[in-house]
Amino acid sequence: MFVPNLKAPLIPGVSAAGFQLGETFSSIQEKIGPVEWYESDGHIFDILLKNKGWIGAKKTLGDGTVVTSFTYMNTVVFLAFEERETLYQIVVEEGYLGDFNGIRLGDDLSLLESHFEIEFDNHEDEFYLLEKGSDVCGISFVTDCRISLEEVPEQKIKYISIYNWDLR
Amino acid sequence: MPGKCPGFLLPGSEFFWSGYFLEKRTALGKIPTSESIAAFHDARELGAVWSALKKDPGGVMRESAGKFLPVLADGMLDMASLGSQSYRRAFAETLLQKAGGGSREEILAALKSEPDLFAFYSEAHKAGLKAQAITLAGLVLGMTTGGLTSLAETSVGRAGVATLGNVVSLTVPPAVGAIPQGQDAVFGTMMKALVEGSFLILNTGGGKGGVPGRGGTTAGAVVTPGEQLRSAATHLDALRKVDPEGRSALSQAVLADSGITGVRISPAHVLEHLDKVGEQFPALQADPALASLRAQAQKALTDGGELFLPADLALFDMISRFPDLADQMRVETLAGDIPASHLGAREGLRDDLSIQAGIPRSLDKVWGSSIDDLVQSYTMDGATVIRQPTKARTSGKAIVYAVDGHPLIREIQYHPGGGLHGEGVYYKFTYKDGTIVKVIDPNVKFSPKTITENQQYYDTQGNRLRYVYGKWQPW
Repeated sequence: MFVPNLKAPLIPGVSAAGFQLGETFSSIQEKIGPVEWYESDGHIFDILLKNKGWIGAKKTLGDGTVVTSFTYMNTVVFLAFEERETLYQIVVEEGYLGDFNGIRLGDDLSLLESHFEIEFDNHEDEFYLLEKGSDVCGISFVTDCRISLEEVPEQKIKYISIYNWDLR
Repeated sequence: MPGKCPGFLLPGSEFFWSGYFLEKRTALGKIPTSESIAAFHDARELGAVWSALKKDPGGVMRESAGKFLPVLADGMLDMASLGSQSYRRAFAETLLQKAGGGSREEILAALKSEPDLFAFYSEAHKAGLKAQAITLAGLVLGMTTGGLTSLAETSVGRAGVATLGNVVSLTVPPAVGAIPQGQDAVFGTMMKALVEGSFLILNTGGGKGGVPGRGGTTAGAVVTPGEQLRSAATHLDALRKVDPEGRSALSQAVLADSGITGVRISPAHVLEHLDKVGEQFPALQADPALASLRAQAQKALTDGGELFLPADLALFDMISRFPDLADQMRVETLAGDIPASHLGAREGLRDDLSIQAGIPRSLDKVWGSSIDDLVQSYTMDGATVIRQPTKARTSGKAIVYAVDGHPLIREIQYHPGGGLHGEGVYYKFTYKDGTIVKVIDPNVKFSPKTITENQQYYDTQGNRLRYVYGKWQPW
């Protein structure tokens, strides 16, 4: 079984877990090897809880978009593809050991405040970073509360997303 | 299936109600012209549009917005007038010409020869194409006002009556007129209004669509009974021109216009319906006004004559004195599960209209709705709903609308899923007090982690949820 690099640094808009945004679906499929495929519905939730390797899933979103994904363990690493069959998003969850600016999953989000402004986006319920007033593109954070830091100052990082929406 | 039409709603019926369909576009004294009749026939083409609408709703709607709606708007409103009190005669004459004869059967046959219109409405109803299709269907349905009502195949809804002083606004979903209970309820209310001298606004298009100003779902709003009353108030000046002494009576003014001075009606018919009204609605049976009517009817029956109800029974007076008519209205539902006289019944009626139109009005109706449905729901409440721009750094999948002017809600959102959280569709409602409500499918992965005190999660049936040890459970 292909084991992703769980210690790889999280590089916004570029890479995580040893995968590069922009890699093709076929090349990643070749790297990972054969997987069980599922239609992403209620059943996949239970399957992911027991997942010890990689699984593949196809899900049609509410807007009709079809997202194809590879998931390692219970979403420790999640790789997403859409129409262009190009890796556009890598999501890492608890169990991933790599860091961004020294910050890892499970850390308090506010630790990032020493280097960045943190902005909560209430449309996606994610946190984004700004550096000297400019967006730090290609990385976002989901916490255990999904609410602004003004309302709940201490929030643990639960997911980190490395993405490039232009690759969808 | 099409139901039996109550006699008093049929063209040519001896029954003559005291109300009048109020519509800003319908100036008193305006007589239908050949153009407006032609517009009606043009509007029939909508039936042919329907099949295309099913294939490409968006495209057809864009086309029809330019091509058909202006025709419909004018033709419709004129036809609504035709179906109303003052133009009944013209309407009947028009139909007579079309039928080539004069009997009621011939008139009805003429009406039934308009299958496209009714097919369109029926299909729109069945398919539930939500706001746009229903708007069109509503316009078409508006044309069915009056005698055509019973021919439309509709769902069974509730009749609702809103009263303010001596003004009664009666909303009759089409199918209510097609079921015995509905007929009796409508009859009882109309009789009561007539006997009490109330002004009656009868809105038969309110069940699913209608003409602006007359109730029902329109493109952007449902006109509530209160708004109907406000609309009535705007006509006072025009009425006073018709009736300078001001002692009556929109109805009288209208009746004067039509040359009809009152109603001659079979007393047996009245008594029969009063009995049924009493069975269904004991409160109405015990009403002094109806008791008086019963006595008159019994006397007329004994005398072997007709019961005459003069038009000037209806007194219409100065409702514009009231600063906020809607707030002072007493609303009752005549059929359905909301107790009569309950203040919430007004909302219940509005909700009923919404449900018929596929518009969510409560959390248990949210799942499966489109964002357009949600927008429509808040627009109905009088709020201004504005689409929020997508932020470039985000996935761009969330569709967010700011809600302005709503007492509770600040923002609504539909998220189709995907992205890094949850993977599932969810709806999000942000309240003004900061409460965030999300409606999710708990069977699809959606991990909220910690739920703070101002966050609430509900399942697809509107049941509140909690998240315990990685699983959703009932609250």
